[in-house]
Amino acid sequence: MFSPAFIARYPGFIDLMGSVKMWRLWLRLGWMDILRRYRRTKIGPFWGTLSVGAFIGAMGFLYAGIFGQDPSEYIPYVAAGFAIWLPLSTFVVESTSTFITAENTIKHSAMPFTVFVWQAVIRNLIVFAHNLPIYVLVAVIFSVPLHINMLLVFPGLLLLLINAGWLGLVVSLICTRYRDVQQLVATIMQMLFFVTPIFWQAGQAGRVRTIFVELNPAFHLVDIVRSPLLGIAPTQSSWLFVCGMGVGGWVFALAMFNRYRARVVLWV
Amino acid sequence: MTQVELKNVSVNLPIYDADSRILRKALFKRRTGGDLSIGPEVFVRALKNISFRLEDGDRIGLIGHNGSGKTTLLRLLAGVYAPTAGEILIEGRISALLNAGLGIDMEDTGYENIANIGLMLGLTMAQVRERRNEIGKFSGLGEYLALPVRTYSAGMLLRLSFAVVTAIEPEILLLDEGLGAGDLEFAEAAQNRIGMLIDRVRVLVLASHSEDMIRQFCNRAVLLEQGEIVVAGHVGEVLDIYHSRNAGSQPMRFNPDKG
Repeated sequence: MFSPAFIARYPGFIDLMGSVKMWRLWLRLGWMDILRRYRRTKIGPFWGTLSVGAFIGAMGFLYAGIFGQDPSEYIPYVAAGFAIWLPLSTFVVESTSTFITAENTIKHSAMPFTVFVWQAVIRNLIVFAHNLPIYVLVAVIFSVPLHINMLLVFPGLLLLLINAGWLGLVVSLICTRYRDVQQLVATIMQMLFFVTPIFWQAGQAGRVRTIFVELNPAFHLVDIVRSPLLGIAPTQSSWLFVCGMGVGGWVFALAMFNRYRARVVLWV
Repeated sequence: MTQVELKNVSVNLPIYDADSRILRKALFKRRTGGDLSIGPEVFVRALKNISFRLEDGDRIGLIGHNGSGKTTLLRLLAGVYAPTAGEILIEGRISALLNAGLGIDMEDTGYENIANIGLMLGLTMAQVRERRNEIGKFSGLGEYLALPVRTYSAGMLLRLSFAVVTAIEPEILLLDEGLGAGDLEFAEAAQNRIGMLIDRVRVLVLASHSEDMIRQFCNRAVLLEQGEIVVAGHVGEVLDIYHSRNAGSQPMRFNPDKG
């Protein structure tokens, strides 16, 4: 396997390898998180789905009116975007306490920390799956045509998950060390929701399009899944942006994790 | 070949005060080139120049006062702490039972917790299924196993986690004392089960204040004081030295280092 010197030098990489091997554990832990929500209420996470549905219904009609858009195009657009954005932003905000919640395990076992990051990814992926029926319903009501491009949802989702992985790891690390950053992350995610084309469309940005659309990572992350849901192929620049961000993000996250992995147990 | 080797290993544990946990202050400190009120990093030298070597058949007991470094040493071997200096070489699969409450979720049923914790400790799902009944039977919880563990008493909770964590197949076992106990009737069964677990392992490292446990399970002992090995050798001899040093017992000392 790996030499002791390698293990001492790249503890973050070793952690990652370890958690990949334990896929059964984090799949189960993520699923258990969802099961617990079902246990408290009969319909469980579908309460979230209902509120998403109500939100999309009300806001969809309101903003279609305000923006003077055709509801049959605008509402599916909002439904798809919101169904993706909500679990994504929940994931980032939850990541601020990933390691802090796992304190007991981190202090008393050699469990790879990234297990808890994947657990959060799986949990929110399942929440996303719960939001999908809303989009399907909306798509049927407004007869969004089936299109071959819809299959692009799979590579798009995969790229989104790859990016969520490093993002969750980085946020977990920073927020374990600096406890005041938790609030900051929540605020940033709230702001991103308004400055990202979710309720408004990229085409409406006009002169500020470069900043809020082309250079906005949140736009590309959402659109890489949203466009396929609507039967549209994401732009080439979105594919490039998301792939580049995945590679760059992981290089950054791993460098950071290698450097600070040993310290996490002292921070929690 | 199972073995554990430590060469001149030291562990420093930094102490983080409230101020250093705030990003705003950390940034401010950087900009002004070091704020005097924050000062240099303060740390405790929890382990100093520890060297030893364990091989198949070694059952080693760690003896020492509270704060002497027993738990830090176990956590170091478990991979929880990384060495600040020195080298660790481990061949063989380590299982650490340092905390009875590992991985327990109050909302889950007893059976679900058995599976969660079993997977965390490195069992496969097949092994979990295979051992589930045995674990359930040993815990003596019967039909309670189908209920969420938040309905359990503290004693029942302990029975459950003890039954699971002792169902593993370790090569190198790290054991912290606080694990057993529970009610008296269970304590005896627990003691037997720990004995059976220890019989299965190749290398044991046990930290305990209980001399009976050390005498019963260990064939070597190490006396730690202030993070250093005072003496290592046969259990009886080390315990004698421990007692003689205890006679003029001194109060706990805290010597934080600045660096």
